Amino acid sequence: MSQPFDREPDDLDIAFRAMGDLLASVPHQLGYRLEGSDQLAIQVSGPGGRFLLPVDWPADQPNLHAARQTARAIEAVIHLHPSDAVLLLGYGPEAAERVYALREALRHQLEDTGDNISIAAIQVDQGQWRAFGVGVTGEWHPVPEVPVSILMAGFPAPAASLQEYRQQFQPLPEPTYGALPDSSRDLIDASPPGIRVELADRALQRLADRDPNPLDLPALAHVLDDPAVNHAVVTHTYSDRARLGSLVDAYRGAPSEQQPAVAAAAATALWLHGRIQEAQQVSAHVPDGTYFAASRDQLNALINAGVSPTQTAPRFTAAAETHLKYAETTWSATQPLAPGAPSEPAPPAPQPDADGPQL
Amino acid sequence: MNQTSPDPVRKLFQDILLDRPPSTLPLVDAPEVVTTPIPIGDDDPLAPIMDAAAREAREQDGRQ
Repeated sequence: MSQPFDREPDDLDIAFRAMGDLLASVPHQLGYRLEGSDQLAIQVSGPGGRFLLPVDWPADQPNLHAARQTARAIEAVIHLHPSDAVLLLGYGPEAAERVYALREALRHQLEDTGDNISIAAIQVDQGQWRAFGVGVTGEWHPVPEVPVSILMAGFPAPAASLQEYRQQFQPLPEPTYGALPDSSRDLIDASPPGIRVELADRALQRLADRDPNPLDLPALAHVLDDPAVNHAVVTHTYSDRARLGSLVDAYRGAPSEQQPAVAAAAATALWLHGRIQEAQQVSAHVPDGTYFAASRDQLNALINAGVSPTQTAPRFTAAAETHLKYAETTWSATQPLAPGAPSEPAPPAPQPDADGPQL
Repeated sequence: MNQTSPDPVRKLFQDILLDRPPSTLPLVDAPEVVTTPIPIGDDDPLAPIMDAAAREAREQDGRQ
Protein backbone atom coordinates (compact mmCIF):
# COMPACT_ATOMS: atom_id res chain seq x y z
CA MET A 1 0.00 0.00 0.00
CA SER A 2 1.48 3.35 -0.94
CA GLN A 3 1.73 5.86 1.86
CA PRO A 4 2.22 9.56 1.17
CA PHE A 5 4.21 10.02 4.37
CA ASP A 6 6.96 12.01 2.69
CA ARG A 7 4.98 15.12 1.85
CA GLU A 8 5.42 18.34 3.79
CA PRO A 9 3.08 18.92 6.73
CA ASP A 10 0.46 21.62 6.24
CA ASP A 11 -1.97 22.98 8.77
CA LEU A 12 -2.73 19.42 9.93
CA ASP A 13 -0.79 19.93 13.16
CA ILE A 14 -2.48 23.22 13.98
CA ALA A 15 -5.85 21.52 13.65
CA PHE A 16 -5.07 18.81 16.21
CA ARG A 17 -4.11 20.81 19.29
CA ALA A 18 -6.49 18.89 21.58
CA MET A 19 -5.26 15.52 20.41
CA GLY A 20 -2.28 15.51 22.78
CA ASP A 21 -4.56 15.73 25.82
CA LEU A 22 -6.59 12.82 24.52
CA LEU A 23 -3.51 10.68 23.92
CA ALA A 24 -2.16 11.48 27.39
CA SER A 25 -5.53 10.58 28.97
CA VAL A 26 -6.39 7.36 27.16
CA PRO A 27 -4.08 5.06 29.20
CA HIS A 28 -5.65 6.35 32.42
CA GLN A 29 -9.14 5.71 31.08
CA LEU A 30 -8.32 2.22 29.82
CA GLY A 31 -6.20 1.35 32.87
CA TYR A 32 -3.04 0.32 31.01
CA ARG A 33 -0.39 1.58 28.61
CA LEU A 34 -0.73 0.44 25.00
CA GLU A 35 2.86 0.78 23.84
CA GLY A 36 4.30 -2.60 22.96
CA SER A 37 0.87 -4.16 22.47
CA ASP A 38 -1.16 -4.98 19.38
CA GLN A 39 -4.01 -2.82 20.59
CA LEU A 40 -5.47 0.30 19.08
CA ALA A 41 -7.63 2.76 20.97
CA ILE A 42 -10.49 4.07 18.89
CA GLN A 43 -12.76 6.95 19.77
CA VAL A 44 -16.25 6.88 18.31
CA SER A 45 -18.37 9.93 19.09
CA GLY A 46 -21.42 11.78 17.90
CA PRO A 47 -25.18 11.95 18.55
CA GLY A 48 -25.17 8.32 19.77
CA GLY A 49 -22.71 9.09 22.56
CA ARG A 50 -18.98 8.82 23.14
CA PHE A 51 -17.20 5.49 23.19
CA LEU A 52 -13.64 4.37 23.59
CA LEU A 53 -12.88 1.05 21.91
CA PRO A 54 -9.76 -0.89 22.81
CA VAL A 55 -9.23 -3.08 19.75
CA ASP A 56 -6.99 -6.12 19.51
CA TRP A 57 -5.36 -5.75 16.12
CA PRO A 58 -5.21 -9.19 14.45
CA ALA A 59 -1.44 -8.94 14.01
CA ASP A 60 -1.17 -12.46 12.58
CA GLN A 61 -3.15 -11.30 9.53
CA PRO A 62 -1.94 -9.13 6.63
CA ASN A 63 -2.56 -5.46 7.41
CA LEU A 64 -5.21 -5.10 4.71
CA HIS A 65 -7.25 -8.02 6.07
CA ALA A 66 -6.76 -6.89 9.67
CA ALA A 67 -7.87 -3.40 8.69
CA ARG A 68 -11.04 -4.70 7.05
CA GLN A 69 -11.91 -6.80 10.09
CA THR A 70 -11.31 -3.89 12.45
CA ALA A 71 -13.33 -1.57 10.22
CA ARG A 72 -16.25 -4.01 10.40
CA ALA A 73 -16.04 -3.99 14.19
CA ILE A 74 -16.09 -0.18 14.27
CA GLU A 75 -18.96 -0.02 11.79
CA ALA A 76 -20.97 -2.39 13.98
CA VAL A 77 -20.59 0.01 16.89
CA ILE A 78 -21.54 3.01 14.73
CA HIS A 79 -24.60 1.10 13.54
CA LEU A 80 -25.87 1.02 17.14
CA HIS A 81 -24.58 4.45 18.17
CA PRO A 82 -24.86 7.11 15.42
CA SER A 83 -21.53 8.91 15.18
CA ASP A 84 -19.89 11.71 13.23
CA ALA A 85 -16.22 11.35 14.23
CA VAL A 86 -13.87 8.38 14.57
CA LEU A 87 -10.32 8.77 15.88
CA LEU A 88 -7.92 5.90 15.26
CA LEU A 89 -5.09 5.89 17.80
CA GLY A 90 -2.30 3.44 17.01
CA TYR A 91 0.71 2.78 19.24
CA GLY A 92 4.24 1.71 18.45
CA PRO A 93 6.44 1.72 15.33
CA GLU A 94 3.98 -0.40 13.31
CA ALA A 95 1.04 1.86 14.05
CA ALA A 96 1.58 4.11 11.03
CA GLU A 97 0.86 1.27 8.62
CA ARG A 98 -2.05 0.05 10.74
CA VAL A 99 -3.94 3.31 11.23
CA TYR A 100 -3.40 4.28 7.60
CA ALA A 101 -4.75 0.95 6.35
CA LEU A 102 -7.58 1.09 8.88
CA ARG A 103 -8.62 4.59 7.87
CA GLU A 104 -8.84 3.56 4.24
CA ALA A 105 -10.76 0.38 5.10
CA LEU A 106 -13.13 2.30 7.36
CA ARG A 107 -13.79 4.95 4.71
CA HIS A 108 -14.66 2.16 2.29
CA GLN A 109 -16.82 0.37 4.87
CA LEU A 110 -18.73 3.53 5.77
CA GLU A 111 -19.24 4.51 2.14
CA ASP A 112 -20.92 1.16 1.66
CA THR A 113 -23.37 1.92 4.44
CA GLY A 114 -23.92 5.53 3.43
CA ASP A 115 -22.41 7.06 6.53
CA ASN A 116 -20.62 10.41 6.45
CA ILE A 117 -18.13 10.43 9.28
CA SER A 118 -14.86 12.29 9.86
CA ILE A 119 -11.92 9.99 10.49
CA ALA A 120 -8.58 10.95 12.05
CA ALA A 121 -5.57 8.61 12.11
CA ILE A 122 -2.88 9.09 14.78
CA GLN A 123 0.35 7.26 15.58
CA VAL A 124 1.92 7.35 19.03
CA ASP A 125 5.49 6.11 19.43
CA GLN A 126 8.19 6.68 22.04
CA GLY A 127 6.34 9.50 23.77
CA GLN A 128 5.54 11.35 20.54
CA TRP A 129 2.56 11.49 18.23
CA ARG A 130 1.73 12.54 14.68
CA ALA A 131 -1.43 12.72 12.58
CA PHE A 132 -2.07 11.40 9.10
CA GLY A 133 -4.27 13.46 6.83
CA VAL A 134 -5.25 12.73 3.26
CA GLY A 135 -1.97 12.87 1.40
CA VAL A 136 -0.08 14.46 4.26
CA THR A 137 1.70 13.40 7.42
CA GLY A 138 1.91 15.73 10.39
CA GLU A 139 5.05 16.47 12.36
CA TRP A 140 6.00 14.62 15.53
CA HIS A 141 4.85 16.23 18.79
CA PRO A 142 5.62 15.17 22.36
CA VAL A 143 2.67 13.59 24.15
CA PRO A 144 1.90 16.17 26.88
CA GLU A 145 1.51 15.59 30.60
CA VAL A 146 -1.76 14.01 31.71
CA PRO A 147 -4.40 16.77 32.09
CA VAL A 148 -5.07 17.84 35.66
CA SER A 149 -8.77 17.07 35.22
CA ILE A 150 -7.88 13.41 34.64
CA LEU A 151 -5.44 13.23 37.57
CA MET A 152 -8.00 14.86 39.88
CA ALA A 153 -10.74 12.41 38.86
CA GLY A 154 -9.24 9.50 40.78
CA PHE A 155 -8.04 7.37 37.89
CA PRO A 156 -5.40 4.96 39.18
CA ALA A 157 -2.01 5.04 37.47
CA PRO A 158 -2.21 2.88 34.34
CA ALA A 159 -0.71 -0.60 34.48
CA ALA A 160 2.43 -1.18 32.43
CA SER A 161 0.64 -3.54 30.03
CA LEU A 162 -2.71 -5.09 29.21
CA GLN A 163 -1.57 -8.39 30.74
CA GLU A 164 -0.72 -6.67 34.00
CA TYR A 165 -4.05 -4.85 33.94
CA ARG A 166 -6.04 -8.06 33.42
CA GLN A 167 -4.25 -9.59 36.39
CA GLN A 168 -5.89 -6.90 38.50
CA PHE A 169 -9.26 -8.63 37.96
CA GLN A 170 -8.22 -12.12 39.03
CA PRO A 171 -8.83 -13.37 42.58
CA LEU A 172 -5.79 -13.18 44.82
CA PRO A 173 -4.08 -16.51 45.66
CA GLU A 174 -5.19 -16.23 49.31
CA PRO A 175 -8.11 -14.37 50.92
CA THR A 176 -7.16 -11.04 52.42
CA TYR A 177 -9.89 -11.17 55.07
CA GLY A 178 -11.90 -13.72 56.97
CA ALA A 179 -15.47 -14.33 58.05
CA LEU A 180 -17.36 -11.90 60.22
CA PRO A 181 -17.32 -12.78 63.97
CA ASP A 182 -20.57 -14.46 65.06
CA SER A 183 -21.62 -11.62 67.33
CA SER A 184 -21.25 -9.02 64.58
CA ARG A 185 -22.94 -11.28 62.03
CA ASP A 186 -25.98 -11.82 64.28
CA LEU A 187 -26.26 -8.09 64.89
CA ILE A 188 -26.11 -7.30 61.18
CA ASP A 189 -28.54 -10.08 60.24
CA ALA A 190 -31.06 -8.69 62.73
CA SER A 191 -31.03 -5.26 61.08
CA PRO A 192 -33.34 -4.17 58.25
CA PRO A 193 -32.01 -4.35 54.67
CA GLY A 194 -31.74 -0.57 54.36
CA ILE A 195 -29.41 -0.46 57.35
CA ARG A 196 -27.29 -3.21 55.81
CA VAL A 197 -27.04 -1.17 52.59
CA GLU A 198 -25.99 1.85 54.64
CA LEU A 199 -23.39 -0.27 56.40
CA ALA A 200 -21.98 -1.50 53.08
CA ASP A 201 -21.96 2.01 51.58
CA ARG A 202 -20.03 3.40 54.53
CA ALA A 203 -17.59 0.49 54.48
CA LEU A 204 -16.97 0.99 50.74
CA GLN A 205 -16.43 4.70 51.23
CA ARG A 206 -13.89 4.11 54.00
CA LEU A 207 -12.14 1.53 51.82
CA ALA A 208 -12.11 4.00 48.93
CA ASP A 209 -10.70 6.65 51.27
CA ARG A 210 -8.06 4.13 52.41
CA ASP A 211 -9.18 4.54 56.00
CA PRO A 212 -11.10 1.30 56.64
CA ASN A 213 -12.27 -0.22 59.90
CA PRO A 214 -10.98 -3.75 60.58
CA LEU A 215 -14.38 -5.36 59.94
CA ASP A 216 -15.33 -3.35 56.84
CA LEU A 217 -14.39 -6.03 54.32
CA PRO A 218 -15.95 -9.01 56.18
CA ALA A 219 -19.11 -6.99 56.85
CA LEU A 220 -19.35 -5.80 53.25
CA ALA A 221 -18.93 -9.32 51.89
CA HIS A 222 -21.51 -10.67 54.34
CA VAL A 223 -24.29 -8.19 53.55
CA LEU A 224 -23.79 -8.57 49.78
CA ASP A 225 -25.09 -12.13 50.11
CA ASP A 226 -28.63 -10.69 50.22
CA PRO A 227 -29.57 -9.96 46.55
CA ALA A 228 -31.66 -6.89 47.46
CA VAL A 229 -28.75 -5.39 49.39
CA ASN A 230 -26.32 -6.51 46.68
CA HIS A 231 -28.20 -4.67 43.94
CA ALA A 232 -28.65 -1.53 46.02
CA VAL A 233 -24.93 -1.38 46.80
CA VAL A 234 -24.16 -1.82 43.09
CA THR A 235 -26.33 1.20 42.23
CA HIS A 236 -24.39 3.30 44.77
CA THR A 237 -21.03 2.13 43.45
CA TYR A 238 -20.86 1.68 39.69
CA SER A 239 -20.41 5.33 38.74
CA ASP A 240 -17.76 6.09 41.37
CA ARG A 241 -14.30 4.91 40.29
CA ALA A 242 -12.78 4.80 43.77
CA ARG A 243 -15.67 2.85 45.31
CA LEU A 244 -15.81 0.54 42.30
CA GLY A 245 -12.10 -0.14 42.73
CA SER A 246 -12.69 -1.00 46.39
CA LEU A 247 -15.50 -3.38 45.45
CA VAL A 248 -13.18 -5.13 42.98
CA ASP A 249 -10.53 -5.36 45.72
CA ALA A 250 -13.13 -6.90 48.04
CA TYR A 251 -13.94 -9.53 45.38
CA ARG A 252 -10.27 -10.31 44.75
CA GLY A 253 -9.55 -10.94 48.41
CA ALA A 254 -12.85 -12.60 49.36
CA PRO A 255 -12.94 -15.96 51.17
CA SER A 256 -14.45 -18.68 48.96
CA GLU A 257 -17.83 -18.63 50.80
CA GLN A 258 -18.31 -14.92 50.12
CA GLN A 259 -16.79 -14.79 46.66
CA PRO A 260 -19.96 -15.54 44.61
CA ALA A 261 -21.89 -12.58 46.02
CA VAL A 262 -18.97 -10.14 45.95
CA ALA A 263 -17.91 -11.23 42.46
CA ALA A 264 -21.50 -10.84 41.20
CA ALA A 265 -21.70 -7.32 42.65
CA ALA A 266 -18.32 -6.34 41.22
CA ALA A 267 -19.13 -7.80 37.79
CA THR A 268 -22.48 -6.01 37.58
CA ALA A 269 -20.98 -2.72 38.75
CA LEU A 270 -18.14 -3.03 36.22
CA TRP A 271 -20.63 -3.70 33.44
CA LEU A 272 -22.80 -0.73 34.38
CA HIS A 273 -19.61 1.37 34.42
CA GLY A 274 -18.92 0.23 30.85
CA ARG A 275 -16.03 -2.07 31.71
CA ILE A 276 -17.43 -4.99 29.77
CA GLN A 277 -14.35 -7.15 29.35
CA GLU A 278 -13.51 -6.72 33.03
CA ALA A 279 -17.09 -7.61 33.97
CA GLN A 280 -16.84 -10.84 31.99
CA GLN A 281 -13.51 -11.62 33.61
CA VAL A 282 -14.92 -11.16 37.13
CA SER A 283 -18.25 -12.88 36.49
CA ALA A 284 -16.37 -16.04 35.47
CA HIS A 285 -15.55 -16.43 39.16
CA VAL A 286 -19.19 -16.76 40.21
CA PRO A 287 -19.52 -20.54 40.61
CA ASP A 288 -22.44 -22.71 39.54
CA GLY A 289 -24.93 -23.79 42.15
CA THR A 290 -25.31 -20.39 43.82
CA TYR A 291 -28.07 -17.80 43.63
CA PHE A 292 -25.71 -15.49 41.80
CA ALA A 293 -24.89 -18.04 39.06
CA ALA A 294 -28.14 -17.04 37.33
CA SER A 295 -27.11 -13.37 37.61
CA ARG A 296 -23.79 -14.29 36.01
CA ASP A 297 -25.57 -16.03 33.12
CA GLN A 298 -27.89 -13.06 32.62
CA LEU A 299 -24.98 -10.64 32.59
CA ASN A 300 -23.17 -12.69 29.97
CA ALA A 301 -26.35 -12.90 27.88
CA LEU A 302 -26.74 -9.11 28.05
CA ILE A 303 -23.12 -8.63 26.96
CA ASN A 304 -23.45 -11.12 24.11
CA ALA A 305 -26.64 -9.41 22.95
CA GLY A 306 -24.83 -6.05 22.81
CA VAL A 307 -27.11 -4.42 25.39
CA SER A 308 -25.88 -0.95 26.31
CA PRO A 309 -24.96 -0.67 30.00
CA THR A 310 -25.37 3.10 29.79
CA GLN A 311 -28.98 2.80 28.70
CA THR A 312 -29.68 0.03 31.19
CA ALA A 313 -28.24 1.79 34.25
CA PRO A 314 -31.32 3.95 35.09
CA ARG A 315 -33.62 0.94 34.78
CA PHE A 316 -31.27 -1.13 36.92
CA THR A 317 -31.33 1.55 39.61
CA ALA A 318 -35.14 1.67 39.57
CA ALA A 319 -35.41 -2.12 39.78
CA ALA A 320 -32.89 -2.24 42.62
CA GLU A 321 -34.88 0.38 44.54
CA THR A 322 -38.06 -1.65 44.09
CA HIS A 323 -36.24 -4.75 45.29
CA LEU A 324 -34.94 -3.00 48.39
CA LYS A 325 -38.36 -1.54 49.26
CA TYR A 326 -39.93 -4.94 48.97
CA ALA A 327 -37.18 -6.48 51.11
CA GLU A 328 -37.68 -3.74 53.72
CA THR A 329 -41.41 -4.36 53.89
CA THR A 330 -40.94 -8.10 54.06
CA TRP A 331 -38.43 -7.67 56.86
CA SER A 332 -40.82 -5.38 58.77
CA ALA A 333 -43.61 -7.92 58.44
CA THR A 334 -41.46 -10.53 60.18
CA GLN A 335 -40.71 -8.35 63.20
CA PRO A 336 -42.67 -8.81 66.45
CA LEU A 337 -45.32 -6.12 66.83
CA ALA A 338 -45.10 -3.70 69.73
CA PRO A 339 -48.09 -4.00 72.09
CA GLY A 340 -51.04 -2.01 70.68
CA ALA A 341 -49.38 -1.36 67.31
CA PRO A 342 -51.68 -1.71 64.27
CA SER A 343 -50.85 -4.58 62.02
CA GLU A 344 -49.84 -3.73 58.47
CA PRO A 345 -50.14 -6.22 55.64
CA ALA A 346 -47.18 -6.75 53.35
CA PRO A 347 -47.60 -5.17 49.90
CA PRO A 348 -48.01 -7.37 46.86
CA ALA A 349 -44.73 -8.75 45.66
CA PRO A 350 -43.24 -7.59 42.36
CA GLN A 351 -43.83 -9.99 39.53
CA PRO A 352 -41.78 -13.06 40.44
CA ASP A 353 -39.11 -13.90 37.95
CA ALA A 354 -40.15 -17.51 38.24
CA ASP A 355 -43.08 -16.63 35.98
CA GLY A 356 -40.79 -15.50 33.21
CA PRO A 357 -38.76 -17.70 30.95
CA GLN A 358 -35.51 -18.90 32.43
CA LEU A 359 -32.23 -18.28 30.64
CA MET B 1 -28.93 -15.16 53.69
CA ASN B 2 -29.10 -16.20 50.06
CA GLN B 3 -32.71 -15.90 49.08
CA THR B 4 -34.94 -16.55 46.13
CA SER B 5 -37.50 -13.81 46.77
CA PRO B 6 -38.89 -11.90 43.78
CA ASP B 7 -35.94 -10.16 42.19
CA PRO B 8 -36.92 -7.13 40.04
CA VAL B 9 -33.38 -6.81 38.69
CA ARG B 10 -33.48 -10.35 37.41
CA LYS B 11 -36.90 -9.65 35.90
CA LEU B 12 -35.56 -6.48 34.26
CA PHE B 13 -32.69 -8.34 32.65
CA GLN B 14 -35.06 -11.02 31.38
CA ASP B 15 -37.34 -8.38 29.89
CA ILE B 16 -34.45 -6.64 28.17
CA LEU B 17 -33.26 -9.89 26.64
CA LEU B 18 -36.77 -10.86 25.54
CA ASP B 19 -37.43 -7.43 24.01
CA ARG B 20 -34.23 -7.48 22.01
CA PRO B 21 -35.23 -7.79 18.35
CA PRO B 22 -33.64 -10.85 16.78
CA SER B 23 -32.49 -8.73 13.83
CA THR B 24 -30.37 -6.45 16.00
CA LEU B 25 -26.71 -6.61 15.09
CA PRO B 26 -24.41 -7.93 17.74
CA LEU B 27 -22.22 -5.23 19.21
CA VAL B 28 -19.27 -6.42 17.18
CA ASP B 29 -19.77 -8.27 13.91
CA ALA B 30 -16.14 -9.08 13.13
CA PRO B 31 -15.12 -12.40 14.60
CA GLU B 32 -11.38 -11.82 14.29
CA VAL B 33 -11.48 -8.54 16.19
CA VAL B 34 -12.20 -8.25 19.88
CA THR B 35 -13.54 -4.98 21.22
CA THR B 36 -15.98 -3.87 23.86
CA PRO B 37 -16.87 -0.19 23.64
CA ILE B 38 -16.47 1.79 26.86
CA PRO B 39 -19.21 4.44 27.09
CA ILE B 40 -17.97 7.83 28.28
CA GLY B 41 -20.73 9.80 29.98
CA ASP B 42 -21.19 13.56 30.06
CA ASP B 43 -19.86 13.73 33.61
CA ASP B 44 -16.68 11.84 32.79
CA PRO B 45 -13.56 14.04 32.85
CA LEU B 46 -12.54 12.51 29.53
CA ALA B 47 -15.75 13.74 27.84
CA PRO B 48 -14.64 17.36 27.12
CA ILE B 49 -11.26 16.10 25.92
CA MET B 50 -12.92 13.63 23.55
CA ASP B 51 -15.36 16.28 22.33
CA ALA B 52 -12.52 18.70 21.55
CA ALA B 53 -10.54 16.03 19.71
CA ALA B 54 -13.62 14.99 17.71
CA ARG B 55 -14.34 18.62 16.85
CA GLU B 56 -10.80 19.01 15.53
CA ALA B 57 -11.13 15.82 13.50
CA ARG B 58 -14.32 17.16 11.91
CA GLU B 59 -12.72 20.57 11.24
CA GLN B 60 -9.70 18.91 9.68
CA ASP B 61 -11.90 16.66 7.59
CA GLY B 62 -13.76 19.71 6.29
CA ARG B 63 -10.51 21.21 5.05
CA GLN B 64 -9.45 18.19 3.04
